[in-house]
Amino acid sequence: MIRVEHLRKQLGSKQVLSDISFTVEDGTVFALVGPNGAGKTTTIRCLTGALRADGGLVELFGEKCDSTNELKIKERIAVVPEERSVFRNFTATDYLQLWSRLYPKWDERTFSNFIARYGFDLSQRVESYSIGMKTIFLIGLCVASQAELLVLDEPTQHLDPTIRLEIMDVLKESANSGKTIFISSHEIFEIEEYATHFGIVKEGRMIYSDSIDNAKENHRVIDTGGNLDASDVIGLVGSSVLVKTKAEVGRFPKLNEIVVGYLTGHRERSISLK
Amino acid sequence: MKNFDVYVRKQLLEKYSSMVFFLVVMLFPTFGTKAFGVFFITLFSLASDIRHRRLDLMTFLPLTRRQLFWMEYLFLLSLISVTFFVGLPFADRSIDSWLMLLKSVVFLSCYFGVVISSVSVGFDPYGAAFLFLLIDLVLGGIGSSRLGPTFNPYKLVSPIYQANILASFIFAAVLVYVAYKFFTKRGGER
Repeated sequence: MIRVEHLRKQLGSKQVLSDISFTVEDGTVFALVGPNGAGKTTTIRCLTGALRADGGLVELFGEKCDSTNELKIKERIAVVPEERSVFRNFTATDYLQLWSRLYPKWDERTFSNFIARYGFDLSQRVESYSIGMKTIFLIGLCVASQAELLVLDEPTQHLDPTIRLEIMDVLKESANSGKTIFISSHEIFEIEEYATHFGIVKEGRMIYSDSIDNAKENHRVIDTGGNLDASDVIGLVGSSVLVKTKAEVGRFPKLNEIVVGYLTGHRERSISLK
Repeated sequence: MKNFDVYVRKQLLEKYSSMVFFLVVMLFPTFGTKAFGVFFITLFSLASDIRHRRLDLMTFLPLTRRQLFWMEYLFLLSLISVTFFVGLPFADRSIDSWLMLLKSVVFLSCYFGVVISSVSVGFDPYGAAFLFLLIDLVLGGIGSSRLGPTFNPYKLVSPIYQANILASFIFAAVLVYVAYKFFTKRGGER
């Protein structure tokens, strides 16, 4: 479904992406995690064709995107942008007309259900919605577009806890129906609730990518004083150490511990290089 | 030109407040008023979206950069045509009226080309447009378009003076093509 290899992108004088590689299978929820400025949004922009990569490969639906198939590929992707920026004078009805025209498989019924469920006023300008309502509205558009790949930048940001759970369920249902969900998020505690795969980005590089189950199976957290022999030390998680091993040592990590371990580990390596 | 109607609707909804005054000005059947209106409407076009980092709103949708460029150009041409035909009953019924339409199209193409090219390579489109206007006024105002000691070849292609319509048209087409290349390669990436 998605294959990205050695993606590079420079914006202005800044090398935002230097080496991003990952694959995402059909029907999975892939979460891209990493600190601010790591390159998550730029990866999304390259993936969706909003930016052209300087180098590397981006393959979607088994095809490399070029001028001959760009439009056909884009019709199969729906995006919720990070800043929730919307057309300033568009009402919800205007959005409905725009999206239903641009997405060939648009599902009116799904959109109506979303509108009714969250009580949107179709005659109101979307710009005047609260940021949370904008998020829900944009997710509604994405789901109703029936696009095969949903790309959502921080989909649960600005949502209250109840609606977060509902949105996570909506995304899980979409994945179960065969769609692929690609999200970027800071919320490392909640990703485990709905993502099946993840990738950790730091300083424009993908430092780890795997399924959540595999990652947990292949790592252990060893507390202070534990035996680190024959283990690949990844990084610190509080006072414990995250190691890559299948040996019966320590305990299985949580997803957030794996993420923190990789992020601190690489930071320590770069500090030691200095 | 698939989705052109969607794009026109979007542009009208988003830009009508900034465009309406200039559209009214463009109804006056003189080249000067039309050029004035075209100049500002070009600034509020796609270039403004790129400058304000709002291009992603469209590139995230199933619209390609190629489509966006040509749809915007066609949209601006439509505005010129509509205002021309609305103002036509009040204009002289002569070949000059039609020539004025052609000159307006050439003027639009040149400034559209300059504005989109400059914003695509990271310059401020407003600054670039006013600078080009100044250069165009000064450079085009020097000398004569007739062969002789004061011959100024730029006067032939100048978007404002257009001493030779065919040469100006070719010049405009080149500027539009350059802008297309810049914009589709990596226009407005920020």
